[in-house]
Amino acid sequence: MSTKPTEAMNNKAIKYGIGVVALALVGYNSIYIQPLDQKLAENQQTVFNAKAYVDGIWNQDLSKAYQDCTDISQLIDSFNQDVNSTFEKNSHALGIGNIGYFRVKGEGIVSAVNENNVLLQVGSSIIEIETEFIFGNALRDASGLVKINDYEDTADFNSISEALNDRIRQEVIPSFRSKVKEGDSVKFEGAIELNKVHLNLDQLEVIPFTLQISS
Amino acid sequence: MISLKKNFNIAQFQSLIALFVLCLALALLTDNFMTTDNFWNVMRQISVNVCISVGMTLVVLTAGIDLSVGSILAFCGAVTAGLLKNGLSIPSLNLFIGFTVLGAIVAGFLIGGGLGFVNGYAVTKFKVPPFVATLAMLTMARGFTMLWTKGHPITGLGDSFGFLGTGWFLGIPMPVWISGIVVITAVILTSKTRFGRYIYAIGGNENASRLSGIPINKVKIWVYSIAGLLAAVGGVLVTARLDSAQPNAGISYELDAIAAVVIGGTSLSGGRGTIWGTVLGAIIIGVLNNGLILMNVSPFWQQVIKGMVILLAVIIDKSNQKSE
Repeated sequence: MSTKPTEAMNNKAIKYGIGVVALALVGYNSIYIQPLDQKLAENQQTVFNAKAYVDGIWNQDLSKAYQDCTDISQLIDSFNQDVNSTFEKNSHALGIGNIGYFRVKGEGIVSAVNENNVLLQVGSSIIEIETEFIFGNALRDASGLVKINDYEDTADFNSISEALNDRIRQEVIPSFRSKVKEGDSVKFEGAIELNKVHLNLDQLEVIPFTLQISS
Repeated sequence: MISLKKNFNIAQFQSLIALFVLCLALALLTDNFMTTDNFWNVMRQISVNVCISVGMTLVVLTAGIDLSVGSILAFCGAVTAGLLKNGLSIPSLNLFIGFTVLGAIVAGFLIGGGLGFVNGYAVTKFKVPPFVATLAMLTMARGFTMLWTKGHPITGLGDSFGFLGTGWFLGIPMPVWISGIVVITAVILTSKTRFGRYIYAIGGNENASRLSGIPINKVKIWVYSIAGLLAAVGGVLVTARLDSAQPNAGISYELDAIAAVVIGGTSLSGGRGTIWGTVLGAIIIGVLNNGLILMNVSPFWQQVIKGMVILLAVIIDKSNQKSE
């Protein structure tokens, strides 16, 4: 009679023992701990640094790419003749969609300085130079330098656009905005995004790479 | 008596008959339905719904409802992905806690079970109607997901984690293995254990169960916790399959789960239904979705048709109850 409570207690102890060992095993195989500063140092070595990457290509590859670009008036003429072949010859695109990115350059007279953009009269066309909303992937993709397949993580790939746009916002736009006025002659290099199916050439929006006021 | 017995038997097999008719119709109407690839495709797609529907069945058997499973799925998937990718940093202690695949999954499961526990606690201790308690959790868990992910997907989770969603083992996709284990465990739980009998008893007659000494609150809290845990399993599967935790994952999954439960013959008033019925319900929804896509039916019409099927299932269920 007296052995039953002892047996029950033993069983309970075995159950708890197995439970604790199982928990310890799961815990041991679940987490690892290290000093935060050491981890941050490791991350700096392995994490893709988009800003450093952009700094690295800015003066050489990127500048060269944007110097070698299509005159915007010629591009518009080419679109008026054959949209498909213009896309085929001049655009860069990530996938098989209808969106294409073009590197363009041109020179025009400032017709308006608005809060978010500057309008240029280039030949018979009005071109909108963006000065406030520098977003999206136009600069990266139009350059043709950066390929998505080179990046395992799409976040790294997207961070290149962020870094590029940041640099334009910080280095290109402020000095231009502070000086530009109506009647100025402005030279520009930049990128545009166009949809082959819904092509609108009325007022092309240029994300600038360089802006130069010549008078 | 004979007629009653006949009705009962037909009611028992009505989901199976519906599935058979559906498969036959799709096999005749489409070229690609009866192929091995499409079979595994459907099975992989329904795996997530099977997991959360099993949890929903347990809740519905107790005459409750859980509207939060879709949001819990999203949050647990995001927590698992976030811990796996970024770990936990505690700057004040200069401490970094990294998580292995096992650790991140366990953490996701614990969060799911914990949120389910909160649902159960609100329903039993504060007597909040299950509809309201879980509706509140639906909103909260979605908010937690947005806070945790800052509204951005968490991607790049590694091959070993992705294997759970896209890998194959012995010729069967991993999500099918996992949902199979969930189903078999739930079948044993509901049909072979005292806990399972308590669930049916509570759903059948809560007052009588209380007078019989069944710990109603304890059982209900466990049931909601299990539903939360299984939503977390679904969250891990979705995240692993996409190699990405999406902040808007799992939206309206609770409706698919309720639909599977109802089509599978579980009574929304509780006490009646089976896990196998729910599995059949989930397969019917999966096959229906797949068939409508193969037939190029507009997504808008797909929603209308799914709604009509659910309505039909409830009407048949009601008429069966009357005849019984």
